Amino acid sequence: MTNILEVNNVSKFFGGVRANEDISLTIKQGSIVSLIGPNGSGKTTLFNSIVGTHPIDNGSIKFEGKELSKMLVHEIPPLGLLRTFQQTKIYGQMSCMMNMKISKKVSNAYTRMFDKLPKELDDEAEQYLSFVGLYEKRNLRAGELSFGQQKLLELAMALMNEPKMLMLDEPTAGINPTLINGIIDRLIKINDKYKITLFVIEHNMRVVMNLAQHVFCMAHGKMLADGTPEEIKNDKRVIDAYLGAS
Amino acid sequence: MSKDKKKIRGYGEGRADKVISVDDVIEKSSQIKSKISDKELLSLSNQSKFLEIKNLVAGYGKMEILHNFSLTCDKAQSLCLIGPNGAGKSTVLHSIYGFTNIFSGDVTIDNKNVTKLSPAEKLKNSGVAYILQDNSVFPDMTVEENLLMGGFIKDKVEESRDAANEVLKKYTRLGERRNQKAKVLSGGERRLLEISRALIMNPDILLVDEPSIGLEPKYIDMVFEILGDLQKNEKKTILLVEQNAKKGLEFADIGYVLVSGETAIVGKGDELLQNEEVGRLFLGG
Repeated sequence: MTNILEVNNVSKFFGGVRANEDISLTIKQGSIVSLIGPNGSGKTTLFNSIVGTHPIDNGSIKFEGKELSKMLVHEIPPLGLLRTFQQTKIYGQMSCMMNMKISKKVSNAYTRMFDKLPKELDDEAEQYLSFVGLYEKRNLRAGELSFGQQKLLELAMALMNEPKMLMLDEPTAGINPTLINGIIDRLIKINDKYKITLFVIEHNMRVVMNLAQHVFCMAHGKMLADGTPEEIKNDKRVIDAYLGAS
Repeated sequence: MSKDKKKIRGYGEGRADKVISVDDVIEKSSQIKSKISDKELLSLSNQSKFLEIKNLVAGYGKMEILHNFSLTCDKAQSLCLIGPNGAGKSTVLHSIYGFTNIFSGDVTIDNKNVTKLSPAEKLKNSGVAYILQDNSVFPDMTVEENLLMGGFIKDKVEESRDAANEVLKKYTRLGERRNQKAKVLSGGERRLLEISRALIMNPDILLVDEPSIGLEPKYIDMVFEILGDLQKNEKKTILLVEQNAKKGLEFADIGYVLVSGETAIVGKGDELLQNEEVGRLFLGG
């Protein structure tokens, strides 16, 4: 399998704080990879570096062989690389359908912003909403959904752009365990059905163990360890820094 | 229960292949829901009504979220509310503290009706403190200043200072960092600071909203140990809401399962953990 993402020796400093120091990782096309690590270890910073939210101080980030680190933040999603956030970013006053339709980026030209939304989008939006189990709620205001359902809506919104790779920042934080199972199930199906590579920040080891094929663990801005979920769970360094002694 | 019971660590483990939609959970739980009598609630709280919520109807604005909700809890007892997102768990805590619109029903603490009191009055006079969900430290204030903010309502800052010193003595992790800005604290230390800031007013009742949210596994166990210490050694009554339901039920004496603004099931924490229906519908199997 080819590598869809290659991060080589990336460093990012905020003043004197070394948020990311000499980070390297590769992600194989079509895989599900998880990123774990203590609060403040630099996971979200690494996500931000990859999607171009801020310039990096050192290193290289390649997506399908293209160097991302010199690109602007809006130039990256059209390549097929999207991310979601810890807090849901939806438009609460709009219907679910509307949220879906405005998520589809047609072009970067400002003039296109005022175009009418094409009718074909309806089918596409309905298809993804039923995939995440929100079809019956498609005409409700998104703000009326529960937090867990909003997370699913956000996932469906990301799918509208048919990404090649999705980066998810704590997709299950604050969600009840039963719905977490639903989210894991959807993520595995997304990976399988739409062949989307997934890169997931997560604290919940139940999610990591049931979802990921490979796990990276960061601590203090550095890469601490990587391996299969089983290897990581039993890695002494990871237990000391993150999981806590059993 | 067997003594060698495996303790639940972090967010717990196990498989994740039981997939049920939220709507199904609500439908199925309304089928197993039984009419819960006041007697049943009282037997769980050792016949005490130290904290009592009676037939509460409450919500935000005109929206009614809790429908005829009742609860009793003894002094130095812990009670955990679990249930799907949007079931009204946080609304229970908000109603006790005074953040909601109460349409009818009563909240009493130690035989005093506190339903109509403002949050500030409750904090000052009724011994109730509310610990927010996620990220409520002031990042640019020092650890000590953050603690003093917990007593902003006191007339003299000296009183807060004494209480803060007590806290800093007890929790040496914070004591070592008293003059450092809160933003340099680790996630676990921040949560500890949030909890201990609530102690400045020396409350009898702690309302804790999702203590484990966003926290790395290692610190989840620490946070529950701290809450356990406050309950056992300082006789605090602890009411918590927890999505990490296994850990929450393991910790708490009593568990209430909320669905759509009503209580579906009540029981002792460890009994609910063993309950098959609860496991299937609310604990992710």
